[in-house]
Amino acid sequence: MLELDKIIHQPVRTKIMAYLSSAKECDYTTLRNSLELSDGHMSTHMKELVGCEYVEMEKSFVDNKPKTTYRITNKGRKAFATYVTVLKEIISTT
Amino acid sequence: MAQQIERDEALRQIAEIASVIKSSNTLSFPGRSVLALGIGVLFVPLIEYPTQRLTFGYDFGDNYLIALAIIHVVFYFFYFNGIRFAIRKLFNEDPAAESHPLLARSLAMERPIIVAIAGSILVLVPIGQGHLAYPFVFILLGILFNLYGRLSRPVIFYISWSYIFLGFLYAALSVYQSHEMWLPFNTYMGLTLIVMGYSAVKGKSAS
Repeated sequence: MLELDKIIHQPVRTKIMAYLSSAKECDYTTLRNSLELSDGHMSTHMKELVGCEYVEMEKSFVDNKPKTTYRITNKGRKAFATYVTVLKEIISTT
Repeated sequence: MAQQIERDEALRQIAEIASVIKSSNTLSFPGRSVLALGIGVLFVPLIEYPTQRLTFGYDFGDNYLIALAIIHVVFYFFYFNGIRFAIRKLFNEDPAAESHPLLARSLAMERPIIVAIAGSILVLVPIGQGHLAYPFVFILLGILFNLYGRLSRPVIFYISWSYIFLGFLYAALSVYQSHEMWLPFNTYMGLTLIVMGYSAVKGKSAS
């Protein structure tokens, strides 16, 4: 049986993981604008991804303004690679 | 909890992932700013002639060429940056905030290019080689837009090559010492900047 990661297998979270797997790290505003997400969507799904340690978050100050940067972890990278592999297997076996 | 999905859904997911990765590798070209800069370039002759090349007829004596170079660099730095600043504020256009972080860094390439353009004018005009300043501007902008074009829209890439070729053509033709030769080149630059800007704005609204 081919199993998909439940955390990643959600449209918004898939997009976030795809983006971060390519960009390595990204700040909140860039990620939100690039994926055209609302603040509500962003915080909900980022909380989930950070909670399962697929993504790590870093808060800092740049020019006296708070900046949140997200970075994909090794665990997240492996999980996303596995997710894509499973998708490919589903396509090739069905 | 384990999940099973159908082939169609898997295909959709793969397409979505590919689309996100592709979009994350595309530079958000500042279309409105470039379009406005193109209009600004077309206005340059209307600034240069009535102001007698920005000198207002003032006699700088032996320092004429040095003064001419400094006045032009300072004036056009504020002129073009003013246009860009106004457009960015007006339309909230920030390409760095809409691009992949690594691509956003490539936008910083414009800084050494602007310094190189200013440096070319400041060096070439005082030594009496001012006729080569505009070809330098074309070639340096060609290199900058070539980079942007590779990361964004093909039309920008093709126009960038025309800038490089026209830069060399201008330099070759400068032996004829024509004082009006910069006009058709200036018009070409203004119009192509408008085309590049319009293409980026149109492309963005269509996507």
